[in-house]
Amino acid sequence: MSMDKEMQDSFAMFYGMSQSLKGLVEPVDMEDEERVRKAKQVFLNKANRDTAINLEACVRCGLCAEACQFYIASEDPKYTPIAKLDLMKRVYQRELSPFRWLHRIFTPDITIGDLREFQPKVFDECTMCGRCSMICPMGIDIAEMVHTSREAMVEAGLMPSELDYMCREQDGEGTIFGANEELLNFRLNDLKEKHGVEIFVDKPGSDVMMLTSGLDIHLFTDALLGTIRTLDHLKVNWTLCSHAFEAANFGLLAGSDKTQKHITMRIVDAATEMGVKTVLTPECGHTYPAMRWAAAEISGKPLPFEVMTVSEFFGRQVMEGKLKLKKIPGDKVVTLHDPCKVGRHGGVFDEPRAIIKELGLKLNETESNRELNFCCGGGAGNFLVQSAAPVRKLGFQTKMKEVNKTGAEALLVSCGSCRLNFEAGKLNTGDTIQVDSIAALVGENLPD
Amino acid sequence: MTLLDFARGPAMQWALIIFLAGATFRLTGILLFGRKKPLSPARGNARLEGYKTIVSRFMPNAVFHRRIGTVHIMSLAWHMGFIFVVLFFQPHIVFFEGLLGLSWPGVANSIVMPVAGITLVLLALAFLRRINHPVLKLLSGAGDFATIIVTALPLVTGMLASAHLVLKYETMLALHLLSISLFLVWVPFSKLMHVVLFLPSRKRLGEKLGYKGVKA
Repeated sequence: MSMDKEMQDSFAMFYGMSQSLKGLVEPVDMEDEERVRKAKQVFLNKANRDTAINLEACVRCGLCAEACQFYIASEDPKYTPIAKLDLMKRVYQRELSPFRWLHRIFTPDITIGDLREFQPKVFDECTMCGRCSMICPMGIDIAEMVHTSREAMVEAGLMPSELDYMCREQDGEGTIFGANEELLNFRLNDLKEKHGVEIFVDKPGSDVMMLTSGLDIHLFTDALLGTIRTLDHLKVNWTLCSHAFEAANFGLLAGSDKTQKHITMRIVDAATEMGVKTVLTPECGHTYPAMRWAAAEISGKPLPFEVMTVSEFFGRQVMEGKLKLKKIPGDKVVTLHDPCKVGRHGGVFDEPRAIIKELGLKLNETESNRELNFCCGGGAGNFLVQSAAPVRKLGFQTKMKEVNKTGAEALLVSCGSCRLNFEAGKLNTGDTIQVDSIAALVGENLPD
Repeated sequence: MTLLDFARGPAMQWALIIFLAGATFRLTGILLFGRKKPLSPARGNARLEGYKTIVSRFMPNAVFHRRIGTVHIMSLAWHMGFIFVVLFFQPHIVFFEGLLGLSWPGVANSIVMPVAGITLVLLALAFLRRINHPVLKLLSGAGDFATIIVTALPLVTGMLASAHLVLKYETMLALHLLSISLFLVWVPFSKLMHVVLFLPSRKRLGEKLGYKGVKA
């Protein structure tokens, strides 16, 4: 299914809105010394054995660059992943490393100039996709440390204004792009009227609490509809929660601990209160690690429910023979994008492939697939950051080179941000491949 | 005390002490950092993937071969050549026997010397790559070049001593032993510590990904 006229109009409006966030919030006012002090404090507080091993083990071989989509497209050494950790490394070496007394002689302390220089390196020029870790002969987890570097920038008041805006909206209103309860209800009623689906909100005794996202409420309504249709078809006892439906977590993307915790706990508390067995995250890549891996750590205890993402939930139903789908006619060839946060950072690989097989589609894998997949180019919130546009284009080029080699008619994705980035990238490059949501495809091909 | 006596005796002894104490201090300092246990249910076997990753990272995934295949093979050949020369050159085995009380069969000089020569050439190529490749130029500091020199010296002096070239054999042997001492002293303070750190580093990535059900 390609974008229909209604969705194209929505896309134009939504994309325009998403690209107009720069400058909507005032820059954080802070003394330079305070910025440096706060950034250093983050590096010091976040350091643990993993950080120490990683920073001590690097042999500066530079191979990480050869896995980076931005470097591959440009051959510009400034995109070298490990080089983005220089500030963190310097703070570690001077303050924490076993030979810190020696490092202090040779390693300069970080300055406000360093922070400003590295701000684009850890935001615009890295999507924390983690592909660099897959090539590193020492096994260094660079993405995790870029995330810590983002946290340092946030504390220093140096977050890109677009992400700052999103975090402030989530902190204040609990929404993204203004998709509040009222808009959710409008969208749900619209889907109910047009497609006859059953909608459940705040239903007591539910087994599954479904989350959605402002992106799906505004734009990718087909993914939302597909999810609801399939849950209804499977006779799942599900509900949305009127005060905790937004899955997106810009705190995690931007590196704002405070926002991440606030959003996570709102969902955890609501799901716990409702006594659900499963929290179902939508096609929103970063929501999955936010809930599946990080939420328990933030709560300080194991979660009383399991967390699954839509493609994982439906894929398992297919694998267990509980969900049969109509075969799509015409021997259609497709390829699959494994969103970094769901795939490499999440482990969901087999389930979407089971869905594709069940749909009777021929899957031509990209050369880099599963845990080695390339990012769409706009991950980690970068699809919103204006200054990241040229870098996004580089990443998109690398990705599309592999996609186009598959000869596929359609590219299937299970992440709204990736989908948005693919659609936007197509506008810029002239690529024409159809980009489809897996949840939407499932919903459209349920047996009668 | 001759130069050779000094190199064989106090220099080597002190080098070994600094090597062992320094490496232990650095490793202990790293491992003393804490780490929280994950609270989310695992999807895969973290420990198994950790051990597998220690081995699997000796070879890059096939998808990377086109970009780094040559460099990787050269790097692997360099490491294997260096270890081969250290472990299988007959006089080295005698040295280890004196130090550890253990010995094993050596390999003929006619094989060890060419291997040492190739290893040295590979190291020279690594040096040239480091000064020419844009990424390596960005990443490299004085320590990286010092490491190459410190690593090359035992190979150069060892080959010259075996071939009785340049200086009197005893003098060249003393320089060879001193260069080994320098190498040992350099290990704990430099990236040469990767000879140990590759183990926890690879294992930890494997554990983190394996916990999520991802192959590292």
